[in-house]
Amino acid sequence: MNRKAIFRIIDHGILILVSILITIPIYWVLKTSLTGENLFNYPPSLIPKDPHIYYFVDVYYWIPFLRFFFNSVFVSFVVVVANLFFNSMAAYALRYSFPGKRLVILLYLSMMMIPFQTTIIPAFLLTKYMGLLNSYLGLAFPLSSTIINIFVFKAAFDSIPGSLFDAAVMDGMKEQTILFKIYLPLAKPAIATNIILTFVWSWNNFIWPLIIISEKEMQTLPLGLSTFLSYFENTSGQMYAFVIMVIAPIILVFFMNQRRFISGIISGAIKG
Amino acid sequence: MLIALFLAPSLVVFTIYRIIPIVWNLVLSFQRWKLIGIPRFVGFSNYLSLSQDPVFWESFRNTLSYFFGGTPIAIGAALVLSLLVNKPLKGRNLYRALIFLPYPITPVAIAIIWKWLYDEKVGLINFALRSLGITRESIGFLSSFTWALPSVIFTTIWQSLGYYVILLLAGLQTIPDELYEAAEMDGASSMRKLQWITLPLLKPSLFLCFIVGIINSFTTFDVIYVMTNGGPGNATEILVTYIYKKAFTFNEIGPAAAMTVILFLFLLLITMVSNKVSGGEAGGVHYYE
Amino acid sequence: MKLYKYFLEIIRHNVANSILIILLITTLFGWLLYVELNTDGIITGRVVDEKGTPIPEARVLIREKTLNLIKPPMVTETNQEGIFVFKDMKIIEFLINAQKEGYEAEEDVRYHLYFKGQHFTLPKPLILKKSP
Repeated sequence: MNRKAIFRIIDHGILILVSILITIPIYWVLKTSLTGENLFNYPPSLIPKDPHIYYFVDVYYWIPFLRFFFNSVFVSFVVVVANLFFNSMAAYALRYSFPGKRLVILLYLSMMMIPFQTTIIPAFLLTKYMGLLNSYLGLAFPLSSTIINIFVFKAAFDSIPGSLFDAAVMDGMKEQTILFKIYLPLAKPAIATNIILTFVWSWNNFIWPLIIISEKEMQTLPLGLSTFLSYFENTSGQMYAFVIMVIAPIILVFFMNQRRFISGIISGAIKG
Repeated sequence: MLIALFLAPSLVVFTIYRIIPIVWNLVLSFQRWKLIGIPRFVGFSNYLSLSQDPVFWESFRNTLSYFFGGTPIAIGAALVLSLLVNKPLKGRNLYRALIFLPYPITPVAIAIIWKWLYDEKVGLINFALRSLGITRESIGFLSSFTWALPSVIFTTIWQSLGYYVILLLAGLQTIPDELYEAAEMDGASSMRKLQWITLPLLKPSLFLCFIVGIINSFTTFDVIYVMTNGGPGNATEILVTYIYKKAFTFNEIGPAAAMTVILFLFLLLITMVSNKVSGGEAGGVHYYE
Repeated sequence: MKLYKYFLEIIRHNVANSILIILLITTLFGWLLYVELNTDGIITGRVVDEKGTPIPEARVLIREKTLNLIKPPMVTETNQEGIFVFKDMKIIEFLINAQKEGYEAEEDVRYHLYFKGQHFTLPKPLILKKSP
């Protein structure tokens, strides 16, 4: 029994060490945003001395933080809603057999092989010619449907018994009604997965806003962060208050929805 | 008919932002264009000039270093961690949550945090190294030619560790307990159980991690752009950042498009080869960010 | 109608989360309300000498500090009790000092407020030393 206890201590030890290593950077930033003491003086201390929220006040007033926040929230909202509709509709359509269905599925699968970064030049040009530079639509459009999530919905729909579908058809229900009133309520995990995956991707997206946004007012939070860094070097406490303000929502969402988050990531990766 | 209508929105999005770009990229790679005026066709000269561009080769090498340097370590560490977290230990949910925590955080924010941790004058890492007596002088992690790329790679490992752990955990949990019980009854030790049960049955998950790792190393843009922007010199320049620079800073659309074509083909090649090697697993692949 | 029921069900399934969110939103609104109702922007304080005697008719200069620059000063004078008042100040961070003939020049004191228009009384009086 003693041997087992020793192993358990080692296991916990390793995990604790790793957990500390993982969380120290985040804790350190939080501490600096509250005290600013690690920017210029050595040696840094472990516990915040004289914490204050003045850096956060600065960020609120001197950076259009609310504007950036609104931009990020609005674009993410549009992206999530669009994804829910477009993806579920596509997955629903794929339930039917129709000529060329194999081709369509092959098409979807092959388009998953095209990472966003390999499309940036033409995507920029297309956005420009559509007149969508510096616009919410331009930001949201490319992300408004994701293939992984289509398959997430498809897997969920496939597990719904066909008898339900037949009964609905016999009742004379229209397609939209069947999808939205019957299928979607039965696919709640898939909806959650869609929301989480697309929200995180849209909120954290940096390269696309970097490419199409040149007006300061239309920047999203990640872009605002990087612009701030280039103006004020990384030795200003406000920088780290800004960082905390940007990552706090996501961390909050994560801790509130851990299980769904993680199962969403898994199903997203495996289904793909 | 309705089917077409239901498929339409997503197909429109993908046509505009996936199919057309791939084709147009190819076209652009054969043109000379600086965003003004009319593009001219110049055949393969963009590819030729790339082959003579030292920065191109350096960014290609760096991308490969990114992959070969970062992914095995990350997956290996994730394997160890997932095996530990899989055990019925107290607080494993907390451990799992903490390990996964860096993943959903905005990469730009992570880049800023680590850029500061690595800082030569006020960074925590240098302070820790000096106080532990490991070094006497501060190391300029992000300004030194030898340390810059490993530092950036380490940051990526830090962030992606949780993702690999989650994938491997999911794979571990599909291994039926009966196998372990049977092995124990045969008197198998932990090492043997690991070798003959766990690892072989984890192959699909490991393969998935491998693919994810490839995609990540070829598409990480945010972290490098914010931390070093390819510097010092071109020590941390990878293909994606160089493509961005060429296209949007220098407006040399032709070479940038050519590089994109090369990047895409290379990615395709690696994915198909690893697919064959692993026995035709995963049909599609997961792209994230 | 159905959407409303859907919403209600989501909330019912996530009681803890919902309570947290409602708490956050209420705190936020409470704070914003408080800020709105207190935007007089009155900054006041006293100027005294080393012994603590108030100094009347001392010039007090206040300069607003933004992230990258310091603005030109606004000036007022202390009254008979050595008290000065600045009204309608909508600033976040400022440097303040007092001057009077016959007294040594002092360094700026820096203060940082929580919101624009905050009502603020200097916690410590500005002390002027008599010139030798």
